[in-house]
Amino acid sequence: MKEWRLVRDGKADAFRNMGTDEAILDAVGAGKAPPTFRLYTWRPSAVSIGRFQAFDEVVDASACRELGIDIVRRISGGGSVFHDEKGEVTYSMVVREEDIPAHDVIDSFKYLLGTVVVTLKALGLRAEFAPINDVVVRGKKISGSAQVRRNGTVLQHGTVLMNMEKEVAFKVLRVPRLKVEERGLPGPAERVTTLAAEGVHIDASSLYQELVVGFSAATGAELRNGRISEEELEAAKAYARRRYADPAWLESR
Amino acid sequence: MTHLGRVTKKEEDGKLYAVDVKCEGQRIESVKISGEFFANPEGLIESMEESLRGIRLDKMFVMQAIAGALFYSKGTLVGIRASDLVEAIVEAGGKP
Repeated sequence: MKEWRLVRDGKADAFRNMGTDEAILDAVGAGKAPPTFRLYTWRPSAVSIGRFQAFDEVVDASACRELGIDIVRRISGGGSVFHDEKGEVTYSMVVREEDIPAHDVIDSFKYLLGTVVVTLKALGLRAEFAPINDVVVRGKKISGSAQVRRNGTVLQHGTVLMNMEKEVAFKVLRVPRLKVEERGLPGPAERVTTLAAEGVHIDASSLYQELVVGFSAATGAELRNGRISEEELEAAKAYARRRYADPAWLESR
Repeated sequence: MTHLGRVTKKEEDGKLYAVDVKCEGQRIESVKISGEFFANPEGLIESMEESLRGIRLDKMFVMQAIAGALFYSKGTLVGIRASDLVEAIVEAGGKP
């Protein structure tokens, strides 16, 4: 197994966070950076929506404006996520397809989410992978992830929920009627759980540390502390400005 | 006469998605595929939408367009089955 680079980032806004993930995807794809495990948080809080989601259907833009919450469209598929400034840690993993079981997308989610499962188990929770792209505890989602592939390289990013202001989350996210109406299932707020709700009270920096340990245990890979290169930094800024902060990209679907 | 139709679906164990189909008579003018699914490589969904433009609203033609886009890009859909997507497009296009 190759050595991975560990990038512990602090808080950044949504545009910069997504720009950084995309810049790392390009760098790893071009062979200019090793596989990378990055940890980060968001300030201000933000909603990210999936690459193919219809903007006006999944997020309440005026509620977000009122609450000072940014909205960003990811390059990865999947659904909308509320990234609470104080309530979650986000990870990203960028790796060449040949370095992981990548042929089947669901297998690759399972493999890369092994880190989250192992970490949550170490914190005493009965966490398990729930296909396609979630980790659940007692059947409730505690971590969701999304993926995109470019140049034979996988970018997977996702969240681990520490705690959540559900009222805010469900004010800014529009939950489609079809999902609410799925028979026999409780409402959307009851399908989600957090570390705090499961009795694990932990701050972001301790959770970073737990995830670093979990990563090594799950993948067997060596992690070396690192940072993003100047070239990645410049690319991240450019992506943030030209793509992620551009309303045309946000509203492209 | 131009008409717009929409079908929203979520298959069991799949992802929520919607297709918006604009037809001029029996000809597809445009299709928008949106939702929570995953699609590789980048550009697959756009190339599907492009290959559907201008074809007849007929299951065989729609299937060819979708299968062709998947084949030529060596693409993968995750969370939607291609056959369900074909049905949804035909259904949406046929809606008054």
